[in-house]
Amino acid sequence: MSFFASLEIVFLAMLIHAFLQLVPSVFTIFYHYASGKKSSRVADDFSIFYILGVEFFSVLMFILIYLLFFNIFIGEINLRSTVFPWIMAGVLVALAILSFFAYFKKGRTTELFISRKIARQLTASAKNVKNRSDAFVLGLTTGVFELIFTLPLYILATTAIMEIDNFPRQIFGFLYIIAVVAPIMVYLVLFRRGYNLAEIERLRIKNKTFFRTIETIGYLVLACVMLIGF
Amino acid sequence: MDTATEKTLIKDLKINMKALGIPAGSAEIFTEKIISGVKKSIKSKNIITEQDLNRFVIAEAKKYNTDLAYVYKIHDKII
Repeated sequence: MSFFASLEIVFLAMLIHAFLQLVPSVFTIFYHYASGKKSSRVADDFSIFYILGVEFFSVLMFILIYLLFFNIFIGEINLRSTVFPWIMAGVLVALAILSFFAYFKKGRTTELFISRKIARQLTASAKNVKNRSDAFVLGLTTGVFELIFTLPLYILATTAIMEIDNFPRQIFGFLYIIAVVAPIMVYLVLFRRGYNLAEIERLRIKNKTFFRTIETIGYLVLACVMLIGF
Repeated sequence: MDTATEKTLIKDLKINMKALGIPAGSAEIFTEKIISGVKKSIKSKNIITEQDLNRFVIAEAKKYNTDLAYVYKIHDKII
């Protein structure tokens, strides 16, 4: 794979990941209730640990996929000579369809694809964050529930990063992890600038179609890049 | 409305109002008015569900602060 094809895959995966909504949704609830129960300063402090939880999960995924793909399953086998690009392209097209039709539930809310039982549990956990470790665990578990949409992105980003030569790979890994928490940072800035949960939620509902479209196009373009670039 | 439910509702209203940036003095007055309004609404009912209670709170909150009413309306529909 060429340097630019790898770069394209990594940046597209970053872009899609940054537009996924479960992690920021949980964050808005968590921040609202943390600032209501304690203070904005404490909510900011907890936010850092929530972000660290999300980051920790991303790093774990990168390491896990690296170990599975390059040390256990594949070893020295060249990914290009296998059906890997076709399988991934198929998965990405399926995710593009899912993103468009099922990522957000119908109605004027930002209800997501996850089951109502899990959504209730996550909402309850986000409302009852009492300390930094709770915030860290919440960030980590939220990452787990979004895996259906993020796992292919982690796989592609890891394999693309590993194919990059003559450039420090860690930089791309680092950039990816920053992109994962970029939406949380945006909402954190909005909260700090005086926006409240109601205003942020109205803003998210207004941009629901935009998020969905970006995700769908992102997955489709990534599928094409996979077939052409790999 | 039993005492435990009332206490939980007051606590929840205060948390939400603080998070929405409603000043403490106004929050105290709004809470009192919302609670008395909800009590009036459920007076004639023998059985009320959590959804009914939530509906009455939204209706009362709407009179004093639209953001508060909106948060109550969407609080379990964000994720």
